[in-house]
Amino acid sequence: MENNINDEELLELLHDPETQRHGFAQLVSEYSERLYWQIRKMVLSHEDSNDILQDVFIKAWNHIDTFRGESKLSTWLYRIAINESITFVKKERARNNISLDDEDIFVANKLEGDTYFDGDEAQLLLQKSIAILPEKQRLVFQMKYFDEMKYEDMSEILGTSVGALKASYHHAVKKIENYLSKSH
Amino acid sequence: MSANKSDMKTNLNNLENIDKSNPFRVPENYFAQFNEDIMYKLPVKLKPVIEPKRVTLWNKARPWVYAAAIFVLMFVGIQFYKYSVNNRINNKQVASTQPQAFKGNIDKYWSTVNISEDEFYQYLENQLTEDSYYDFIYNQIYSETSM
Repeated sequence: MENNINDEELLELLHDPETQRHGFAQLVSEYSERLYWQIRKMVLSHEDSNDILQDVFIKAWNHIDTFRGESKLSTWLYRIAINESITFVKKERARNNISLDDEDIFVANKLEGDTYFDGDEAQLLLQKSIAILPEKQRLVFQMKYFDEMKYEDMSEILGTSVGALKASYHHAVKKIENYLSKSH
Repeated sequence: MSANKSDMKTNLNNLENIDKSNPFRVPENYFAQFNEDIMYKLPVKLKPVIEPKRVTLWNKARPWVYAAAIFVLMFVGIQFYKYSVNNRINNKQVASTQPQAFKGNIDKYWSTVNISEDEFYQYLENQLTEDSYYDFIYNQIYSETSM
């Protein structure tokens, strides 16, 4: 379904009780795929990503009446998705009693048994190296490296300065390359 | 074989040489299905029940009370203004009737008093007559007592 509706038109539909459900269906159709991949890169498993994506849209539905368009709709949704993903990763780590140093082994086990992961050895290694990064650094690396997002857009979503994001990305790349070199 | 492995090591040391394509998959038709399913999972939003606002007697009467208060204030204000204006006029009138020493040309004297010239001479005559009478009585009494 092709959607050319802009934020303003979508908000108009979402703030009118008569058209709210129809507007929300358009919002889901517009953003579900983008948000899914953002979540998936953080939590890796499809089932977990699916659960989180549902939670994100239910939260958005419950709070859409209070959204007044101070930020872009996409920024608002990304923020919810990122918060949910980080909360999930932290809870999972605590539940399985995993330290950041053991995260790569945990991720390797998780991905090797995942039917929805098609990566080769190099890609699996890259995922393992990403897993040892702190959450925020992991997020910055994925947004920049995989999604090629502009620092300005990342800054709006993450509420961090462009300078800090550049530094964070630089550190992340160094750590990953260091991990890759040590792995061989 | 060992040369290949060595190449791979070199490649993997450099991030740019790793395939950037998405290694993750989703089940077939996942997004279309998700978009449909999520709409059934959204909680129903209850319309807020708006209770009719209770209107008390005071609320009903308030505009009228305010209007009456304004009217009374305006009435009192107008009365006070009228009273103060009248007072000022009376004060001026009293001041103008007070006897004042005549200053200026004597020929214009009669144009400044409220009695006619004839009335004035009549008044002087009466005064003289009365004075003569009192003098007579006085002399009678004292002359009798001295005898």
